[in-house]
Amino acid sequence: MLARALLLVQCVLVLAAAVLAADKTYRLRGTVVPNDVLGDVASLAAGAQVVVNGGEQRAFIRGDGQFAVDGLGLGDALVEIQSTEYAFPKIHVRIAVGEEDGRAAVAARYVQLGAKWSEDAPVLAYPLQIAASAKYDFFTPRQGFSIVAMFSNPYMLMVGASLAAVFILPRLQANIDPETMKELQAKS
Amino acid sequence: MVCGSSLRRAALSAALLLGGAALGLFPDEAGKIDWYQAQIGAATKVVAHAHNGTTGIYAATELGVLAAVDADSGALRWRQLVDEDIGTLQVRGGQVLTQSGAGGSRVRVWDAVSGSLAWEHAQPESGQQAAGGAALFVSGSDDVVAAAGDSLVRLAPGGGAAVWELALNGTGTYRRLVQHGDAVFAIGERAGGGLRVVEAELASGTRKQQYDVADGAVLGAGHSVVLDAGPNGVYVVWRDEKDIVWKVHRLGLTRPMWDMYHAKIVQQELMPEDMLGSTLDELEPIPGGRPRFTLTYLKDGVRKTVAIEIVATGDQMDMRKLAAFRSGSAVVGGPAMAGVAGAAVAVRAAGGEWRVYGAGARKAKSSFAYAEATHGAVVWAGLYRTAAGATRALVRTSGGLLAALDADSGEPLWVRNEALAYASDMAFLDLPPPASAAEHAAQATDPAVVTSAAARFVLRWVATGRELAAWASSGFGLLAPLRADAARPTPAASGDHFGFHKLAVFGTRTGVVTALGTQGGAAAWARHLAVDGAPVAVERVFVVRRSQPLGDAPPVVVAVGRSARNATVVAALDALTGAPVAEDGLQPMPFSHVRAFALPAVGADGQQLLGLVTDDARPTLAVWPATAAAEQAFCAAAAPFFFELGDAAGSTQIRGYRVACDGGALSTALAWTFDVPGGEALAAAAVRYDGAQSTALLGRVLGDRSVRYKYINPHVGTLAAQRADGSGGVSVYLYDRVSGRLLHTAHHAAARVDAAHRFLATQTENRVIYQLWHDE
Repeated sequence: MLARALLLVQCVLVLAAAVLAADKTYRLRGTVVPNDVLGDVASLAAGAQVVVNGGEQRAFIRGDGQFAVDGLGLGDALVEIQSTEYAFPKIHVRIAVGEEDGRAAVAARYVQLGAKWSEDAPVLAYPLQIAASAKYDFFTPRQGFSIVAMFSNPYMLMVGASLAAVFILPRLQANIDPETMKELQAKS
Repeated sequence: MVCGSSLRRAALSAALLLGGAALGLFPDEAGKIDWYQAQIGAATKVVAHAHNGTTGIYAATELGVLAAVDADSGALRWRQLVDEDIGTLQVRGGQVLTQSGAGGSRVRVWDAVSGSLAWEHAQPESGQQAAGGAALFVSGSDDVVAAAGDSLVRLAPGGGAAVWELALNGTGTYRRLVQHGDAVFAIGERAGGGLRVVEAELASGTRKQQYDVADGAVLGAGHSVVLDAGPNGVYVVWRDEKDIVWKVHRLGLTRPMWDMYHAKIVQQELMPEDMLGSTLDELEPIPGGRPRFTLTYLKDGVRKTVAIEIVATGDQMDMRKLAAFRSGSAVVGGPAMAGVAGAAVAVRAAGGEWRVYGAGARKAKSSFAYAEATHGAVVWAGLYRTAAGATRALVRTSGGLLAALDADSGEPLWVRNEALAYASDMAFLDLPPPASAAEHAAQATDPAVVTSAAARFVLRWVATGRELAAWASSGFGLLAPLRADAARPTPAASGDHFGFHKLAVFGTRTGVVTALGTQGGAAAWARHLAVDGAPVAVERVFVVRRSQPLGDAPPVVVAVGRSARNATVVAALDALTGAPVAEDGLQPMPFSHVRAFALPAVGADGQQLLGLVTDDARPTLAVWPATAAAEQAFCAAAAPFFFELGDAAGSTQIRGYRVACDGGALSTALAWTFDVPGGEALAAAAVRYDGAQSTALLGRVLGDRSVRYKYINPHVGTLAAQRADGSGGVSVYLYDRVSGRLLHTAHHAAARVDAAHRFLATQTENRVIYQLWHDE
């Protein structure tokens, strides 16, 4: 009887904890770290934001690269850094309450758009350390003068062939035996 | 050999001309062919601040944007999209303090130079606070005191735990904090009227005293002001509607001291009913000066503004009139330009001239002529001083213009057109191609106009000579790239031969219709549309007549919008100059439209006709222009015509209508209905609609020899529907907008559409591409 009562109380407490945990929100921390692509993180701060789940939560990036996103619930989320100048990897974040200690833990993994979120990918360190993947380059570099490109142009090939016909053929013609030339002219 | 050398030169020239093909935009073309204008929206709070030898204008806008503008050039230094109502804006020592979010729960400090976030604090939200809250930098410290959530907190740089926290217990909506010595006053509005003042020690957060002021008084913007005059005290001035007097209370005394003052300055001519209609505005005091405010009231149909200064001598208080202005309308700069040399009063004099007065000055510092027809009436004005010591006036108009003027001469220095932040629709206008000298000469000597051969001969030479002179004066065409404005040329009245350069005509919700050149983005013209003084919210922009080379009729753009009374307004403007086409160019309609589109018909004057659907419950189609000839042209070219209604978010039924001409009269009949199944409602709708397009196009598809014909239906509509609670996924429907037939259905179980995750769809040829958020 007592055991049943204790069991009932334990079940109620676990259920209450789960309900309370479901309403509780968490803070996700991270840092944008400099690398060869982005040397000065301070230059990024004013033009970039951390976006979770396409805009459900947003956070600003400090001058030293640190950020903190509030309002995340338990479960999965997609964390992106939106910037018009640099591309950053997308991160799948899973916040779960540990069964042993009852504390929330964050498991973060790199993810690609269109690919299923897999738990086989290696877990990243937390707080997150995100580095820029590439710098966007929206412009086409002007092609400098290239002799190879010039001669690979079909129009140039036609011009070259025409010039060859104009300058080289008469010289070849001059080396032809006169009798052979007469025969050729007679045939034509 | 001469021939051979000539051939070699020709071949070399040909070779030099043959370069690599351009695959995209080159870096040196950026800004000319491709350009970008960052907008911030209409500023609600503005602060000028000098730091490190430069002055910046820091603004918080209606759109939740925090921005820094260079005070000398008007260029945008940086902006942050906060996306929340910014209730507090304060700048000090190279740092910008903002407070935003529900109940002012988010306190952020930014670096004034780079715009990066220095630190932030998120206070738990409380239902007791209205949006905004209050915050300030603590004098002599880097700490911040804020009324956030339901607490008064002191925050240290870093944004961690509060230094101290004092619960306010829902005693009011605190919108103002004032530091006075070693105490801080939190002034809040009580739910039942009046103010609650909480005084706390700055060091420990201990509540020193708490009392009520102005019991029962309805307060708020215009009805009360809080004047912080530093060592001269902190005052609250409010209008007591019960006693119909102005009352003043000085904060910080050991026991509340009430002073009743009847505003002697104006009482002699002010009747009680005039007092009830009067408003207060705060004026920033001169550093070390006395508290000042303005009182604006209407007397005998004339609006008057009085600047008043409070003079306290011991326990005695007096008010002194600084200046009085009489005008048709007066604009006061007060909190809008906090922390600068002194607020300004901009007064509209007769003839549309605006005069800027420094606070307390009887003589205007400067005046400027401002045409309200371009960007609307001046909303507020302020003064600021640059790092070099120059005094400038900053004005904001109802059309979204932000302009800086030299305060002494009134000369405009720079302008930011923020109306584009409220753009609702745009249309491209092809500029007329440049006419050659021969074409100009031919037009000038049209035999139908000039019958004399001799006259035509003379006129032809005159026209040709004029063209040659213009060409010579332009440096034979060589000097144009060297002009200072070559990088951002003012859009010309004519374009280029290839049609690359166009005008982009924007309609905005602030009533401004503006055109930008596609080369460089320079403004060509702007026009402010207003009915009875209220701006027209433009919804659609149509080019109804295109440019003609050497044509007599100018291209026409029509803006369709809604007046403040929700009546449809149609404005026809010259697309090259922005001038109204006719004297009654702005036409309020006797109805409120629910849909506007271009009709596939052209009127007798060469203008494309527009269709306005007038009533959602019993819709009818009105043709613009509303003439019999236009209706006949529509009936001849476009009838029957189809449109649908009910595709707004939340709708559960879409209805298709058919418009026919019966004996010259238009009749609209319901053709089909589509009820969204499954208990869902529309989340979004996308159509690729162009009423001027013809129906089905049949053609051979290149590259796919197995298909000879593809039916490209330009009347496919795309709908996204989901349940009201967002569960169950998103259903996507493709339907024919003419017949109402359902063409295709798809269901995405784990998808959702909401404010943060929009549904976007477009149709290209026989493909529909859509994007939506998927939780998995």
